[in-house]
Amino acid sequence: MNINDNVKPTNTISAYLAGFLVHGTQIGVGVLGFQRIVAQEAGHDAWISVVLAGLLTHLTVLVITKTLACYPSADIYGIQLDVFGKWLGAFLGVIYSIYFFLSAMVILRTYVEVVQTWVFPNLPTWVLSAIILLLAVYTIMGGIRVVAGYTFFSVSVTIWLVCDLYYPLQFAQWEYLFPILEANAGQLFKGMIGMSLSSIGFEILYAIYPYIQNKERLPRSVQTGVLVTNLIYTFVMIVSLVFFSQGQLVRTIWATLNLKKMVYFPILERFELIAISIWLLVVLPNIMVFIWSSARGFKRLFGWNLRKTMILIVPVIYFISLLLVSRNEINKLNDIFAKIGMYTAYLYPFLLFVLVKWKQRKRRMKEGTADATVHE
Amino acid sequence: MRQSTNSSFGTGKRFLSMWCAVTLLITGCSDRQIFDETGLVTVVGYDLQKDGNTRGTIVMPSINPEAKEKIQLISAVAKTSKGIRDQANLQSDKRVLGGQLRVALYNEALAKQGLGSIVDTLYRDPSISSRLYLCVYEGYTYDLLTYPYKELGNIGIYMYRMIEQNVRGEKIPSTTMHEFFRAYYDHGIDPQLPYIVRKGNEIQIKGVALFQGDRYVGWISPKEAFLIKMIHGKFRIGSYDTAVPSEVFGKHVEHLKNKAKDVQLVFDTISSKSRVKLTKESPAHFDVKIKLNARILELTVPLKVDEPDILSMMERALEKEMEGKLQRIVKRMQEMDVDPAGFGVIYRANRRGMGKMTTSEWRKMFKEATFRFKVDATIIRNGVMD
Repeated sequence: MNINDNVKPTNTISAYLAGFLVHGTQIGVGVLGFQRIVAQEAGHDAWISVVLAGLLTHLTVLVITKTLACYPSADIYGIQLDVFGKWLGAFLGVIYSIYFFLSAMVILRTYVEVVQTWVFPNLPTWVLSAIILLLAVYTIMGGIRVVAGYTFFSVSVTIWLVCDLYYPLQFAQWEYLFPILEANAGQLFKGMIGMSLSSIGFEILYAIYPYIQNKERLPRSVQTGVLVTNLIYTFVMIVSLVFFSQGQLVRTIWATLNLKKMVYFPILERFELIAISIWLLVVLPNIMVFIWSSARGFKRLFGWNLRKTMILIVPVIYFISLLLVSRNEINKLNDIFAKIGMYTAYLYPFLLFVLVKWKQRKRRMKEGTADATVHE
Repeated sequence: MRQSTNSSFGTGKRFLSMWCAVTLLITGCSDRQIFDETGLVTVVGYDLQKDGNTRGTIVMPSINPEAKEKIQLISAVAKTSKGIRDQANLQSDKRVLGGQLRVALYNEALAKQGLGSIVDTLYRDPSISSRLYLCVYEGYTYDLLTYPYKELGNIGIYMYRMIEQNVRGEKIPSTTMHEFFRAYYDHGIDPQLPYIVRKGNEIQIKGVALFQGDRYVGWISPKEAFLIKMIHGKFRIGSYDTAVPSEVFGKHVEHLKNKAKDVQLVFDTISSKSRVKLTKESPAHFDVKIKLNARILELTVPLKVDEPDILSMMERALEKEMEGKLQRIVKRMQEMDVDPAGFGVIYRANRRGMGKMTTSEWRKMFKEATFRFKVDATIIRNGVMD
């Protein structure tokens, strides 16, 4: 397998779409209920944790783009082969692939759980999971361009949902934000960890990088995507803090949906049901991009084609999602996955960056040239 | 790669689209709720009975054209509110659903016992709106709901509109289920709900019921509730009437023949803003500055309000009267040991390290607190007449 992967120009996507992909993959099911997890740790200063976590995300994305820029057109699977050698590199590649499809699984199951709790209490998991997965598979068959196009559509259709926060703001109690900075650094840090499940999703850059047309414009567009995500998260968090009292917030599982419960129109009493249905549009790109990234890994490592990999991956996701039944199991799953995500999406990129730089320096010293790029 | 597997891809796609269509068609049969077969509850009343059980009474609109009555009433006794719903289902030809529930009433005895757990059931249920209004009723809600009103129509919708228009008109504080729980889970503010009575054919909001935690302790008049909201809140269109001794106006009223002892003044479109400062931490001392603009609507003595000094006299009189009233209402709150104005929230917001304030700490703080009120009133308009 080659370290670099030169994609045909007909299959590439432009850099600004990558920004949409990152933003669309970041916003998923996490935003429906991250407030409680952060507020449990950081109290009424939770919004500071959200801002700090956002800054950390910007930094991590910067490191990821810098790492990728060291290679002309490589993805994580190639980079790991280059850095860790053939066997360890392939092993880590498989791990990352599995991480990607577990992400898809967690998002899928959590969304189904939301639907079962709020809309259809007796809807069996297998039906909704099957429908969502089939939709995802159908889109992925069209390749990354279709997935990116769909993500663009989904983001532009759903971004206006932020505006409905106007309704809960009518009930705002601004004293709840004060005194600012009462939480100590440890609590704020724990709150940041609580954000990890909601903000992961940018690591798909590692998989889509070879497909980007004008790579020099990528950092800017991705940073913009992350910035939009962070602004939305911060805004939602502040509104939640002034809308709920602390005791109420730590008891509310899906605070964002409770915020949407306050929205009503003369012709529409219960907006949250509409919002949950629309949320399928938000969740689908997540699942698609993650499955695609995972399948891509198997293709790069073992040369399997997309269809073969799908036949392997999708049933696994499907059956794992059926195994989880109760609220507690899903909660645990989310907690565990938040931890995994923190290591793979936040810490690992820094490590990889250092290793890549070190490797390149070694190579340069060997070759004695100032050329930093890797020739195939 | 695409060209080489083109044929298999085509069949795959066709198969997939067939699959999607079939699953979508099948799932249309999941959980149908046909309007004619559901009973949409609009109001529910809970009563604590002598034997400790709870009686629930629900009202649904009747859409049966042959029925005489426009509403259908079902009452059942059970230990829990969902138990009541199950019992109610056994008495109804339609499926009882709570999605349209707009008002929940609790009788005084039940409210005295504590509403936390029984409201929690409603809050937990995703099908019930958070904008549901909770109220306390003085007698048995069963009697209130089963009384044959002549012209109220669907009593649930009627009560909902009644409460809503009063909340919008800022006559009573907003009391949705969300706000009840927000206050209930907060160690720094107590919930308050409308207090409803029935007089013959009329349903009336008599005042505002005050709670200590989730236990009802007593009620206050709407005017007192207005003042409480004024301490810690905003008004846009409030109204307030007061009586001031006519001596205030000195020489302006001397020439009047039939001089009453008091002058009645009515103000409306009051917009107010308050700023509460914690000036001393222990014992707590709150400095409340209220700035309000009002329009004079009615006065019982023919005064020429175009004279500036009369207006300023009125303003001074209103300020003084309000400051006295505010002191009194705060005293009363301290006696009742309830804090619906949320001084605890302000205290916590202005003093570092109180984030984990417990209920008992807050009650103690509130008991010992002292207050100073400073009202700054401006009469901005005087109607269309001078």
